[in-house]
Amino acid sequence: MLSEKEIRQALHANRVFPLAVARPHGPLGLEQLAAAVAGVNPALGSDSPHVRRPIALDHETWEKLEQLAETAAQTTLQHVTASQVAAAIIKQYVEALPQRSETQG
Amino acid sequence: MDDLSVNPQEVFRSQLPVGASLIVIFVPSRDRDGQPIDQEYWVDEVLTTLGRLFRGATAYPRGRGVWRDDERGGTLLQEEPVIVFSYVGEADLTTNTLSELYRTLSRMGRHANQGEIGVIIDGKYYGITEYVEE
Repeated sequence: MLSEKEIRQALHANRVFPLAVARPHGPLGLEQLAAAVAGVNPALGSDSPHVRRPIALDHETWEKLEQLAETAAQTTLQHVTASQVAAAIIKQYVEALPQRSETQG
Repeated sequence: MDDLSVNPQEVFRSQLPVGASLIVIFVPSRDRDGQPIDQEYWVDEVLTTLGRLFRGATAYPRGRGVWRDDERGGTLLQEEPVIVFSYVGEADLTTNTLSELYRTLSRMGRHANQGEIGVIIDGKYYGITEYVEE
């Protein structure tokens, strides 16, 4: 039986996470597994409430976002994309805005 | 309908092969920029690889979700990964077979522009972000 380290090396995996669902059975088990995976890799999750919409930014902005993503990846040892950094910045900014009722009141 | 303790294996008197490991691979439907990929092609590629290496595999046709993008004229967008799984005998789970599997996943990651390919083996998620050149 291969060890986790041997599997990781053979797959060239850069990170390993234990999942709460070890031995899923049947469709419901696989759905449970998909939900668990969504917590590790949101791009593969099915239950994500996120809505994808394309936004256009100039090259310079994307380059800066790429640099931030590289820095974040080095700090967290996880793969981080420029899109994820952009989403986090926008979310943080929007959450800090006052509610509409506050601005209109 | 509150009997959640039913064990299908007991009901059907079935069991997994002795020593079998479960490998699960998620084949995405979109690339890292949100653009659709040829998911059917990659499901076939993963199925073929798992079948060749481990004698069999199944693609789980999940209930697919859609959402209506009103900013694009009400286009319905699908965003569902396909789950492909295979039960692998202990003797078949080797560094050689996993290296073969990696080559297919690496190709998918590069061609389908994926940020990360996820493989689950016996309850552990292995995230692959390094893709080799062919």
